[in-house]
Amino acid sequence: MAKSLPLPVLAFLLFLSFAPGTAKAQSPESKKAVQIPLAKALKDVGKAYDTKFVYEKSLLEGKTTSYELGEIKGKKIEDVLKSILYPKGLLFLYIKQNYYTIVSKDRLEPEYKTADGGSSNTPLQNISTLYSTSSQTKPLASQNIKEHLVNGQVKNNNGEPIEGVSIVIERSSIGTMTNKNGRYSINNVIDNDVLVFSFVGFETQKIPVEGRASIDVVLHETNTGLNEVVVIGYGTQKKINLTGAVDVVSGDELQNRPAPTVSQLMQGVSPNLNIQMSNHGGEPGSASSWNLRGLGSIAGSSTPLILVDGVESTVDDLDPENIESISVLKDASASAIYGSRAPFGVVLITTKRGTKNKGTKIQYNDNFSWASPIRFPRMTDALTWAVATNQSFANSRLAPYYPDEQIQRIKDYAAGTLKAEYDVNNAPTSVWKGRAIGNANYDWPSLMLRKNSLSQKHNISLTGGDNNTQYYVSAGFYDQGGLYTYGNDSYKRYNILANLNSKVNNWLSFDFGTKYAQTQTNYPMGIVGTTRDYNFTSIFQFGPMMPKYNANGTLQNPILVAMKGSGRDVTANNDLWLRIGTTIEPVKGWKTNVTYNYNIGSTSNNKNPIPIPIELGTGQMANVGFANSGSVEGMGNWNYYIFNGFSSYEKTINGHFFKIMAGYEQELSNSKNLSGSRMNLISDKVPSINSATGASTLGSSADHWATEAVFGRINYNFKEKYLLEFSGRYNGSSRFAPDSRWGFFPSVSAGYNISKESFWQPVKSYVNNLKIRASYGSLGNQNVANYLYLSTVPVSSNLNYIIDNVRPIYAQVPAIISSTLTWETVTTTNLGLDAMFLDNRLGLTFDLYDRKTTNMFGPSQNLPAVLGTGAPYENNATLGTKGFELSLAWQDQISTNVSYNVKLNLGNNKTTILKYNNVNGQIDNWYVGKTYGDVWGLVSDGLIQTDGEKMADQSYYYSKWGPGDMKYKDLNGDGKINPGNRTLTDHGDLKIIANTQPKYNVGLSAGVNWRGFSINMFWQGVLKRDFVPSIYANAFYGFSGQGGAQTEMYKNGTMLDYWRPSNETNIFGPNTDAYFPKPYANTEYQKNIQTQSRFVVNAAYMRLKNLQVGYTIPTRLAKKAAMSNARVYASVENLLTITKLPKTLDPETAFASDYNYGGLNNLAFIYPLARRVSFGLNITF
Amino acid sequence: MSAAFFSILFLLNSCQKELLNKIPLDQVSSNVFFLQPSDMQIYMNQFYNDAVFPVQYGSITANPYDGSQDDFNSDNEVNANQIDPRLKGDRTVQDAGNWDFSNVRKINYFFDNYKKCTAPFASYQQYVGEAHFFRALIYFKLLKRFGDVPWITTELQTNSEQLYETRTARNIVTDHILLELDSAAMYLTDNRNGGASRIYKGMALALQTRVALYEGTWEKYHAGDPFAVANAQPEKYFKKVVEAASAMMTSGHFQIYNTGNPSSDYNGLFTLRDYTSTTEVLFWKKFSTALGINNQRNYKLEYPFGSSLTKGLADSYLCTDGKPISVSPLFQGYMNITEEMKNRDPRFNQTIFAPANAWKISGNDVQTWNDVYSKLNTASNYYALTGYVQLKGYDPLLIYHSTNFEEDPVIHFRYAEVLLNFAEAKAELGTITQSDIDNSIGLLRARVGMPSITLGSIPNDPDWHFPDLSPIVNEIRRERRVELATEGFRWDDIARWAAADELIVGKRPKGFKGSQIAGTAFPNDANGFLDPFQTALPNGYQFKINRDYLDPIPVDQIVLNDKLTQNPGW
Repeated sequence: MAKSLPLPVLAFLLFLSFAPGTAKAQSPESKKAVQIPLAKALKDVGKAYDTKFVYEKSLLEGKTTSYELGEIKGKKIEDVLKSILYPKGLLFLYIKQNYYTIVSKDRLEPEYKTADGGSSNTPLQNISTLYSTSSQTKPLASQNIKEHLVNGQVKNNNGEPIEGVSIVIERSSIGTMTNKNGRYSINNVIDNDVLVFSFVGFETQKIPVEGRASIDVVLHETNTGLNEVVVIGYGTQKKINLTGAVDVVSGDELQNRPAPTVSQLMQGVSPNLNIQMSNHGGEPGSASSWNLRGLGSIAGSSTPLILVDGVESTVDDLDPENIESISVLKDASASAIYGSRAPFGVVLITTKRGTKNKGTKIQYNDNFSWASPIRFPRMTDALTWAVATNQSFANSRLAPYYPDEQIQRIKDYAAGTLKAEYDVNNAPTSVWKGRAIGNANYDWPSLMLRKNSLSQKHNISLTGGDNNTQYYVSAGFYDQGGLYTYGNDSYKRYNILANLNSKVNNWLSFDFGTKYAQTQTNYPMGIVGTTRDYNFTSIFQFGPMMPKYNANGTLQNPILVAMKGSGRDVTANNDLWLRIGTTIEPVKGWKTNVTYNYNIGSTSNNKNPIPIPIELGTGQMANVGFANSGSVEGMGNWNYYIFNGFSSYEKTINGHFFKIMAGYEQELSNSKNLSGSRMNLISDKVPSINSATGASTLGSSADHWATEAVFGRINYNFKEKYLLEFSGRYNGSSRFAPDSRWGFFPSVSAGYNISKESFWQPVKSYVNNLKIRASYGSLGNQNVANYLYLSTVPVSSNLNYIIDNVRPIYAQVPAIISSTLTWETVTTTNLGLDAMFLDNRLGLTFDLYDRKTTNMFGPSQNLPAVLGTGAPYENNATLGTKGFELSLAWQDQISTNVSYNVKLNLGNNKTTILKYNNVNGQIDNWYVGKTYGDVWGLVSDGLIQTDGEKMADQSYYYSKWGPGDMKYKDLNGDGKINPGNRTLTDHGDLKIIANTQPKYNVGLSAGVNWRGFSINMFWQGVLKRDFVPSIYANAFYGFSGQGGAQTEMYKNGTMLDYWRPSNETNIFGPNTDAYFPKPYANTEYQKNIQTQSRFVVNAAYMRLKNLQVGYTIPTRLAKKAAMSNARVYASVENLLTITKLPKTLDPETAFASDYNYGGLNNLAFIYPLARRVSFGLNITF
Repeated sequence: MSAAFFSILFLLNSCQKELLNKIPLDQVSSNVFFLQPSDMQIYMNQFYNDAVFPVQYGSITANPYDGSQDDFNSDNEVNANQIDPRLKGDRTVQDAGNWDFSNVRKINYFFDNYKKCTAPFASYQQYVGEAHFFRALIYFKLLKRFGDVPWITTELQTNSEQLYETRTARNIVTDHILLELDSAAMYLTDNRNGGASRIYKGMALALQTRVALYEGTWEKYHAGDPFAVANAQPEKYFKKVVEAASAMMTSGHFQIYNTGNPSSDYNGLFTLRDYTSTTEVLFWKKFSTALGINNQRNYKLEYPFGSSLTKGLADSYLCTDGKPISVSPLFQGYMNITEEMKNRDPRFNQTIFAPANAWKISGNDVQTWNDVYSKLNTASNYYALTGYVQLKGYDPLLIYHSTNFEEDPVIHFRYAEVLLNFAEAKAELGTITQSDIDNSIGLLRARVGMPSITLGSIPNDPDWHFPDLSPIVNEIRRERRVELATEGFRWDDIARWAAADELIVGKRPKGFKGSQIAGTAFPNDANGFLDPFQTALPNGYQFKINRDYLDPIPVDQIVLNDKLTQNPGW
């Protein structure tokens, strides 16, 4: 930073085109060794090298040169310029690619004269800054048409004067520039003129004079990308000098989207960063799982390390408004510095800080949104449902589930001739019976969820600071309403963030931060004995014929009654982070940072089970709640600290840049939980353990772990052309046995900025920048459970059995220990390329990687079940993931008023098992060569149409087969359909039929700005993925075959497309060319829905995650309301989904809910995603 | 650089060594466990659960997928929504259940470690006894499902050779089980302690009679079929039954529940609210809504909900003269169920509903079963395919009805079974005497006011299922079916008697006369009896007698250990 202070580069920003008359004044016919004006010579040189020069007109006036154009062939531009300019006492300074500024020799400060006689290659130093405001003098009272003088000062974001800024009167193109103190004066200005302030590397500003005589301006730097400073592990680095695979997402890209959480915002933003919903689906406050570059470990976790301001914390507790930038460190070289904490990459989130000398700025943002469920199944009419169900019962040769008498009632009710929703003479006699004997016609899903659920988001921030102290303070509130019609559900989040940076003197500064989040979720408890998620399953188990009301008008549907009347499940989390850090720089270039972060948090959960009376159709009362009221409470608290200190020294000697960093870190985590319950409340209104009188339970848990590490990094580059980096970490974790606790994880990487080479000049105007990178390194994975190396006897309380009138504590058998367990080692090779084309309008980043996890945790062996437990983990497997990431961005300004941008992210990866202890080659386990996500299954061969049709013997699956049943292909030609031994050598008629991993993950954003208007859209998708529904997925098959009457018929579903004989006389008629086989009401159905090729569904999708239209109110209007900036916008989340899935399935919730992929419920229903229409406002004062 | 790392590390490691030593805060290290008797107690607590204790009564509340828990998997019961796949002959090797040895591991861990305790043996012998009891119970369950199973008595490790050994022959396994129970009986307390407490000696003996009878009859009746045992010694096991049962019968601790009301005492036993002082109930499960352990038996039995009992069971009930309906002049025919029940063993009407039975009692308001009877088979909650609806275990008092929150206790083991085991073993031995009968079956008959069996003058029943066997064996088997109806014993009995060829194959369950009810959802046979599976089972059950007596071993286990052999027929 010190280096960039009085920036001595005197760059004059007068492009040749801004110097009218300069070229015209010279004779274009000048030939041969005659003296030609210097300006003309420069113009020719400029043409030849596609280079522009900036200078003060007067500097060249009267100067001539005899240099000939013909002489420059084959020479470097620097040499040409030297020979033209040096003799005239002029110097040239490199500003950026293809831009030079020409100055008088004596205007350079001595220390910046370089050794080779004057040419300085020192680039302009960009400083990452945040905000600027213009301080301006008041306009004069009356406008004056008379030309007058305007003067003032131009500074950068840090309040430092900038020399060489061009100031041009827009009307006349007359200009001047600032002097060493950033001061300027310009004559011939009239009152309604507009002054254009421009300087290379800074954003151009147009300022109306409005009669003022003095105008001070602050210019802010442009992010041309290359000079951008990127946050990396324990430090920052210029993007151009990066050798690792790092993707940067700026806060701007995330702004103004009403998505509630950082996870939802980040989905699709960075290639190969896959964020998927949890098995709670779209429920307010539900978490997401993050994965970077695919599966890394099959036993341990393979989520990336997510650090907020350097510490690991819950990402969804963060208010997205507070994010300054996000760096995604993907390869080993970028994340090796985190050692065993970050085997699968790091996501570094930096929060906003105050800016220097900006005065105080207040910003207020809000957003109101209305959510409605998308792709949530809707039930068919009751008759369709009943007839289909009965057909499955008939196929099973069982009596009809809905007798004729009831079918008649269903018809009469639908025709309006019957008003009662059930037979009053045979009223439902139990809570659940209505679904079997009712005759109503309701679409329960649409009654369960509402269509317009309001959410709101507010954030106010205060930022500012002077040269020594800067602050950023922000408070946010988010209130997400749930979709339940009965029994509200909600998620609330309160955020406070304060960052303070203070410089005590030249060598000492402090950094303080506080971050507090409170989140609250409030849900109705589930029906007794289940979780709330089961409400979805239950509601779908009702047929449309389930009565909603009793004859006397009271509510009969037990789920609605239970959701409406149930006790609440309320969770509140408090998370407070405190940071104090100091930076000491006693000697220039030697910096030491010491930071201590302390986190204290607590969580509390209260549930109050209560009886929920419900009236049966018979008038009898029943209970869909608990037997007794009570209070179930859980409290947890944790504290965590992370301490680190690191010291770095950097120096440049003759273009050789060195930086050495070494550091130490330790972290310690403690957590404790206490839970208890007591039944029989004195008053239902006061649910607490204290005010209950019945039996009680009590339990607790506690946990702690620690890590310790030393780490270091060496950077070297030569003139930013050749880049080299080593880093490593020696890491210890309490999770492993003392002998296998420590591991060393090194990495090396290199980069080559080819475009900085002189031989690149000829193509430089097309390929403005090109860098190739390579890295190799290894990291550890300590993301396993604690204490796996210790044999412990698990002790639990509340045995689920009463002995001697109590539920005693009980102990269980210890797991077989893994005494030698140590790190998984994750080795990544990465090749990357960064390029900019066509005046930096087109940017390309491409990375190829090969990641191997060796010593991976795997069961010691595939052991016979007589062992009686799972085999313990050992470090004995190997897994490899290969993939690529491509990021392509185009931005352009068509005219001063219209600009647009398009950005495409594409990532793909494939994971293969390279070593695994599965000697028998069992295909249901991992085996060498298995691609993660592969599914083995039978190959379908159409439906049987006639009795006795020629087909293989399928008796392995069922004894009887007939028309409408599935035929399978006899792949091994033995005349029998079976799965063999389910081994690689004997897998019968099975083959790999699908891969369920998401492939080709895409993010696509595009935006257009026109004057104050902007339109932006963001698409996210998966271009290739197979969905293999589990046999429980009724939203797909319609018939469960699980016994009972779990038939489910949905509008827009494919389930009615099942086989019916050619002589079918029911309301559906024949359907021999069906997609689904003949349904059965019992487990016989499973013979037809064995995992097979026919029921592999294409789950690829593209989803318009966000579409937004915004308008920035013109500054002059905003100012009238004392605002410096004001923007309004309207936005829609999840507006459009393109997929081939049946409309009853959502490409995201299908996987989150399905049993095969970790879903909670058998029937694969889940809280749906929401379409969210919102309106928002950003105001800055 | 790494040299620098290491040197810094050396410094740190010497002063910060404790930082990374983090031992569990809420788990007990296994090397300090089992040092005191209370550790053994809490370790044994884990075995008190519904999976280890097959709930022998109250099938409707328990896991319906475990075939041992009600009579659905036998010729006693049918369901409107499904037909038992084993009886139907539809099982495939895919349906094989778990070859689950996790409980074996749990119990063996105890035996490997409890000797660490230095306290006097007497202070913990109870828990050693429980461990022997549970090892027997766990293995008995495996034995019933798979026959030969590897007998493992220590905690296996990943490199144990025993992982790859052959199955132990079933009779050896049985011998081990019986020895375990001998040890259990030796160490366990003699005190029943209310029956909802810990395992005690009587339980070990009762289980011993069950196991020994199972193996004895299996060896005897499967002789010559694919499930035959080499060196079969059925008599050895019958003698063990007699020995264990006699110990219980002479202990004086146990008594058949009998308050002198033949018309209600039998079902009265199952509807008692507490068995603390009812010694016929050897062991029972207590429910408490306050403690969150709930039952819902009355709620489930209030309507048939598709479940019903078979004509085969109904016809087993003798007439009050002690004669079967085939010969007794007292039998009133099948015109309707009220007629059918006239002059019959009172257990008939204490097991199956008749229109006059109380259905719902709320205060002075009494509804009768007639309300249900008149609607049978008209709507799905009134579906009772056979018309015979279970009453046994049902309490019409509405205050005890609730969806999820009943506290009706459930009987795990009862003394009546021991007496039946005793009589059957004696009969199989051919040594049964009149006094043996009087001391066993006689007590059960006395409770319901039925005449006892008189050896030597057993009336000949042309409908005996096992005409090749002696009349006393036939009558004891009948008694067992009647007394233990709906308690989950029937499938085990059929299996050990190898009786599927007589009772299941080609048979179709029937019901009462269809003409007596209004509902016509199900067809009648030529004689007018409900024949609900006329289309579903045109040729009756297709149980495969050379296969379906045992479960298949999962294929993947045979791949992992090629010494494992598949069970016959699979």
